[in-house]
Amino acid sequence: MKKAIILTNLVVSVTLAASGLIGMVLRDPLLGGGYEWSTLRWIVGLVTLFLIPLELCVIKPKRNT
Amino acid sequence: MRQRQKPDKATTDLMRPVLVTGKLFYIATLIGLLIVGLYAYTFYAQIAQGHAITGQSTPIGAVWGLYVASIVFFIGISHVGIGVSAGARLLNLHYLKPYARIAELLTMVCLPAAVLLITIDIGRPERFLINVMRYGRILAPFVWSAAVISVYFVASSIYLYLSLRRDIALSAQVVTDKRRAFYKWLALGYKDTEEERKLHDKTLWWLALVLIPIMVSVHSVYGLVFGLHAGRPGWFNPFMAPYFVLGAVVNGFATLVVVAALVRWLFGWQKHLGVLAIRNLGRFLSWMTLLYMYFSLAEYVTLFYTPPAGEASVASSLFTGEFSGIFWPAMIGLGIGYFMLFFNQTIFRNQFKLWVTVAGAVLIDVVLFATRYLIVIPSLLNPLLPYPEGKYVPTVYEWAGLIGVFGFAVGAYALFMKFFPIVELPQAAEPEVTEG
Repeated sequence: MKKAIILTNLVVSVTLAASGLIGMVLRDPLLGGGYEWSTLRWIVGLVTLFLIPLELCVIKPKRNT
Repeated sequence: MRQRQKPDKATTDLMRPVLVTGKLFYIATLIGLLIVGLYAYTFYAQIAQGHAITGQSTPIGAVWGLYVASIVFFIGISHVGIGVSAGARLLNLHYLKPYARIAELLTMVCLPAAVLLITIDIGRPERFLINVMRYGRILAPFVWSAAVISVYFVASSIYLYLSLRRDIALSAQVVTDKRRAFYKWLALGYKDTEEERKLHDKTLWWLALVLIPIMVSVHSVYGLVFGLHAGRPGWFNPFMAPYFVLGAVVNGFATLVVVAALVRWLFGWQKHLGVLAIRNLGRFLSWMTLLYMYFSLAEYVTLFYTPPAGEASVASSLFTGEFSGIFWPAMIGLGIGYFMLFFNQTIFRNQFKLWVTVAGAVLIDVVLFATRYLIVIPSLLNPLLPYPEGKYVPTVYEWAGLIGVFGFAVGAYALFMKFFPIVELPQAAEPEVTEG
């Protein structure tokens, strides 16, 4: 369960950050048009990556009794 | 029935700000709220009357002023938290460990303080936020700054929480008032076992390693905000990023020396916070100040030697013009501050006096604020385009806004100390024992 949460977090964060970065690169350099909210996705992706250390320490692995 | 843990002497002493609330705290809180009210009033006045109430103007005059200089100042101080805490962890500098949380908290209050100043500097902050998030371009330094500040703040918060978790669990066992339930919830089931401590230490070690480059990037980005301005004389140069990072290190460590000495004195914690750490911080600060003086010398010699017309105008205003009254005292103050630290740690190290190091650090902090001001304003008042000459004098509203932010920083720091131990507690949190 703990590994699944961390892995999901990693995948979601990297996807968000990557799509945001690519969107910012593809945005029209002169008019700034297209690929709106890319910056938000980029920042949110980076920030949520740092939830992983928190999950590592806070989530206790399920112990089989 | 659950047993509460009896704290040992050291823990009781270090938890005194948490356990005991004196009249001074209430008076200080009231004064703090009044000071923060200055910021709120300035913010309201700017919304109601526009930025005309500040001294800022464009294209004649300076479009950035006291606010931006202060933003750079506060961002600089925010370096020290992770710098000291992560450095102590990665380099095994155990004597610095008691000071780590004091430093980390400086990051946690100074970053929001800088954001408050950014907010008050922007005419319509909600539009800034929405437009940066919606239309931000990859080549815009302000997009970089929004990204690195957000990442640095969240990562530092998580770093602080994980390093504080053990003390939160202990507080839940020691505190007897209504806050007990809050600490219990906040600890999120932390049990102070060997396994948990090892996991936290390992995680914090890796987090510290990742945070160091983020920390450097935060102030590098601010250096690039200025350094990539080809149209501003005195700004456009490739060394702005490392110069800003160095200034931030000096600024941050000077503030830490002052705050650490103050906390030590205020609570009588000489036994818990050894003077060796402050001596070594002072020693490091003196070498960094020397390096900063070297960078400054290189900058001003270049500005003076054969500058292009724009730079010549900026140089003239600094060396002999309207800013010479700030420039020369700042440079002399920097030298005095450096020598105070240098002599106290080296030539007169057997007669080391803590007050000399603290006074040197205060002087360096004031000088660094002045140099932030001198980086921002003179270049704006000497544009390359032939606009009429302008002036910039901060108005009472700008000073009120800045004082309000200082009040916020001090108040937030004090509030944290009211709820959480500012020094890592020596006692282990025992597992709760349930009887009957």
